[in-house]
Amino acid sequence: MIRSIKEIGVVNPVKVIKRDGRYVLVSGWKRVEGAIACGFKRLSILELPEDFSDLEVFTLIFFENYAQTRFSLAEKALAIKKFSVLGLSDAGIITRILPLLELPPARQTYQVLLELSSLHEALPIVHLKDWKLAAAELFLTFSLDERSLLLPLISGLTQNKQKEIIELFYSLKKRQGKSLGEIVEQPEMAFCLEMFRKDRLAAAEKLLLVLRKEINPGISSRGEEIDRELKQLGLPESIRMNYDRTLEETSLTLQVRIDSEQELRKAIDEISRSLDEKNWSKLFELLHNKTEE
Amino acid sequence: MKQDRFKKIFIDRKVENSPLVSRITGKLSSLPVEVVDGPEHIRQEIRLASDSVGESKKLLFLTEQKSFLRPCPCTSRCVSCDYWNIDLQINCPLDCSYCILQVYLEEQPLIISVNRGNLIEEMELFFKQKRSRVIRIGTGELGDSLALDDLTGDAYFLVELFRKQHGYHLELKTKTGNINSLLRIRPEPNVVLAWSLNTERMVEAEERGAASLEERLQAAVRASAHGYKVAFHFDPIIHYPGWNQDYQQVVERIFEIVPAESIAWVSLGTLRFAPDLLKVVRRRFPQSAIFEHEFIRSRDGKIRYPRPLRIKLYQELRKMFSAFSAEEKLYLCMESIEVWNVFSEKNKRRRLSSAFPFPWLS
Repeated sequence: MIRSIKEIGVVNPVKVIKRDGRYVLVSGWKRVEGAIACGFKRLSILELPEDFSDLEVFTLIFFENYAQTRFSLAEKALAIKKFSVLGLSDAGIITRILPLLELPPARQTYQVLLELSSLHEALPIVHLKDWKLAAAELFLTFSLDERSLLLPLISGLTQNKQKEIIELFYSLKKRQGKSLGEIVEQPEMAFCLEMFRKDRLAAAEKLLLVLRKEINPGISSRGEEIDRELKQLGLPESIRMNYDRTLEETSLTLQVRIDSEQELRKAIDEISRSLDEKNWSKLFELLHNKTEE
Repeated sequence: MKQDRFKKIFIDRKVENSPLVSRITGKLSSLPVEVVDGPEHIRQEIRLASDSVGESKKLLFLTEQKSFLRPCPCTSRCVSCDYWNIDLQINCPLDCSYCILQVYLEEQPLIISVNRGNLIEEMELFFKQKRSRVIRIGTGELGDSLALDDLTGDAYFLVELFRKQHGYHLELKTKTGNINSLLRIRPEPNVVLAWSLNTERMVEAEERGAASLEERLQAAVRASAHGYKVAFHFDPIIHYPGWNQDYQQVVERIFEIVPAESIAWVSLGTLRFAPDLLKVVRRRFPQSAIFEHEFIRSRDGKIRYPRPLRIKLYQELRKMFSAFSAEEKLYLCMESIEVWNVFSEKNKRRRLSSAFPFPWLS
């Protein structure tokens, strides 16, 4: 912006309005800063009519920025709160403003955003990681104490991991009928929390693994059994057996990395030897769910 | 079904003078009526309500639609049962926690299409086409077939439409006991009255506004005594502590009071839903525990129980029906070939192309 101002000056006038006998800058703060940095003493202004209400002024600023900026959910929440404080009706916010912000035009959305706007501690994370509405809505189901416990655990993680941890803790709370405080006191969780002091990212990964296993015990244990069976086949790393981790499909996919005919022959020999010497049947029984029939 | 659960009737100007509109407004004479030029104004009311899904069920919109009949889309990579749907109503006055319509019909009021003449023309054309197999057609996909029957008289209308249309089975699927109009008319062998069933515990906890299990079964008894074929849909089968005994009780109760020979078919389908439903149910049914279970995202994008558990549920249900020599009446709804292969020995050859292998209906 500074390069542009040096070259051609501030072409688009900043907007001001008179309030209590003084001029108030309502739009163009960055342009003013840029002009000062470039040594400008004067710049053009556009004075808004004095009888413009605060709501009209905010609406004007909103639409001016709307065209140029992609708002984060946190910014959207703050904008909605401002519209509400300045007196725009609920119906006006829901039907006019929410669609502009690419949010579902529903009262529930409005309520979530209002609540979110008051979470000063969480707003920076919501903004930085560009949370989606669903994650925020779920986060709000936690009590104040639980949110304080949760925020340090998820800060610094990617948006997806933050969402997954919130989601998994939510499910665990419901399944166990316990508070988050009680859940994190369980030995494996407590171990993860202890790890957070030393290595945040590794601890978060470990926490995710523990949570996923807690939430999906059947799939996890069946997956571990299948992995064990695959390992005992004794195949080299160039031969990989992949299976559907959701266990919907019953088949294995064989992946062989080869660079020549000779390597292909060798791989086929390795598989043949494994078929002769190792037990493959349990693997297929596990995939076909025959162990429980 | 209590009609005082509706708040307002909106009438599409195009159908203002329809006899069915007069009938419905006459039966709900205490409700305010507004003539509108389209649904946008109603959607606005729904958006502004704190519970938009709940509100959508309270606003009736009487309108018309071009076409009523469509093949059931089933779901991708699942074995289809060649079902057809007639959408006379869109949305449902009942409020089941697991209902996928909460997501599919966002901002849609309870729509009743009143241009029955168009449906008659469409069906007459459909009946003229030669079919190599039995066709089942139902009205219970986007709503309950009988919940609004007192208002619309749909049941009588449809039975008359299907009378003597051999090879075309009409299925009226409901969670109510609302069959009085059907007991006043002569039954037809190709008209099947069907009830979605669940355990009493699930009915009470998850099926707001629906009839109790016993009311549904008693309605089935009356229907069968009147000469109708009946059907049952265990869908969604829900896994919870004590599920086995509870479902066992339901199956035993069926065969205790409903004559086995009057049962046309029984479908089984485990709990499944589009991921977006989770957001809605967590907000609307925070007390429900059925969505906090071990699930997987299946190949069709839906969330389901893992395959081993689904197979276990189906096999147990099959055992329960086998005890009454009725396992041949079972079929699976929206299930993968892998599950079918385990469920039914007949499908071991992997030749299954339809999930509706009931030769006695041909």
